[in-house]
Amino acid sequence: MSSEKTTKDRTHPPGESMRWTAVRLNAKDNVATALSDLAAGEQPRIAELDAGPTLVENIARGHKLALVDITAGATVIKFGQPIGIATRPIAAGAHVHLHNLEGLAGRAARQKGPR
Amino acid sequence: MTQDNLPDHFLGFERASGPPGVRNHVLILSLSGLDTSAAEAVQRLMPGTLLVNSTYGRGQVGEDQRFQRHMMRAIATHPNVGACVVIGPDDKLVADVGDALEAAGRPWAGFSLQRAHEDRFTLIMQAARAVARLRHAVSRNARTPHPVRALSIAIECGHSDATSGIVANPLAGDVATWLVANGGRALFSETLEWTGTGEILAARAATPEVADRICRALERRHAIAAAAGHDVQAGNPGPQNHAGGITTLEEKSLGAIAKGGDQQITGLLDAGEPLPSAPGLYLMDTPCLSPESITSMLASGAQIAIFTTGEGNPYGAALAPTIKVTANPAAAASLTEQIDFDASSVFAGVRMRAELVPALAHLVLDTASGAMTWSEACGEATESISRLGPSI
Repeated sequence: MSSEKTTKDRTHPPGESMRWTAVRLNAKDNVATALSDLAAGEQPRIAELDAGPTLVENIARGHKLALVDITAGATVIKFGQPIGIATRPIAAGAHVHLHNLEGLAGRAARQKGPR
Repeated sequence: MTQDNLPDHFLGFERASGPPGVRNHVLILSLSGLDTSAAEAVQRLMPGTLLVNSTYGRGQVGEDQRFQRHMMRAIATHPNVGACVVIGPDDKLVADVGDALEAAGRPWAGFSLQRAHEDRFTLIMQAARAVARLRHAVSRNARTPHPVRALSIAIECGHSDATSGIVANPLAGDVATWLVANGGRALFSETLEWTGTGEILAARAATPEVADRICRALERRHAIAAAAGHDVQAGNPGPQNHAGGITTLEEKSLGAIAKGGDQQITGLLDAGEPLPSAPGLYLMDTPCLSPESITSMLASGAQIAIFTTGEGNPYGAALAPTIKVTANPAAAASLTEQIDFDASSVFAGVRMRAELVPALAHLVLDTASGAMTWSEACGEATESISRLGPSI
């Protein structure tokens, strides 16, 4: 035990429950990031968003979920900026990751053809 | 008071020229590997002083030499340095830094091995005596109120994880935005970490010239990497990033550049280039090692560093208090003498990021007014000066 006080912002009072289970970083985003492991059928609670989509699959903490239906070839937006292109249709509430999202840099490199 | 009842000033040290300091160090500056050991002995004799050394300093040529000498002058005259004892191999090299200190009106003393007839004990005794005189003198400096606009903050991220891009970096970006709105300057660096976001950064540039400089800086760093046989885009993001939820390179880079907020970019600076007095967010073209990057940014005159991290790391700069921020709950809980600001409540979904911005801004101002960071309390104090080419 020690008596020193720190200027640290304490994490949060013990036992205080999660107000939000996912975060949308910018109002323009069509994806949100899970703040805890979320299960299919759950509806994530997202600040400044009335109703998050019902999840169609499990989403691990730190991973992205689609907030709306995203068509193949459409831009995926996070931080209010394009982070890549949907390589197949992504349903609202689905996991957005390597299987359905490709970065623009990687795409450009591949379109240049083999080296 | 500014918004959120934040103070509109901090207590800093007025300097004869340039922005105020947030610390009042007596700096022992060793200019070459020939005199580093003697300089270390002076510091051991005189605790409470700061030591910055370069183990190179001679045999450097061209751009590398120009940069090394610039960095030595910039470090000696940093706002947080109240007085400087310069220790070098020869009078000419010492005078190069001494002239800059003279021009800045900063108290100083210089000693060379040459003048001490290459005898370390003579040099140590002379320098220690000068340290005592300068400490006595700078202790008379008092902290006085200075407006927030007098602050420049360097923002760095290192040992990042899935929490950095979504919480700690955007939070630092919020504080950068607050600082710039109040007339201050924020800067971040590590050019290759912008990879994939060149167009986004260029679109935020204040002028077409700044946009062009951003794109050219990225191209130049990619060329350096390619010349060394390193492809920045191959395998990036890596398996650890993928496991944490990061999918694309743009996404990873956006998480890194979030530490400047999404405001206009006022300018792009070369490594160590002095910050203009105009308020704004600046980028600095530097390599990606955190200590090298931070030293380059501090040499521009930034008085404080904010260092966001995921899993943590103990590094603290010598010249400026380094405020360590994490949103990783495990790191925040276990690294009790390292993490200055715990943002894990946002990652835990208990707080919104916006709720933490005033607290972090407050910590910045308290630190500027003299409150120690953990790395200062622990005695962490390293500067790392980049080499731009081989010695001859």
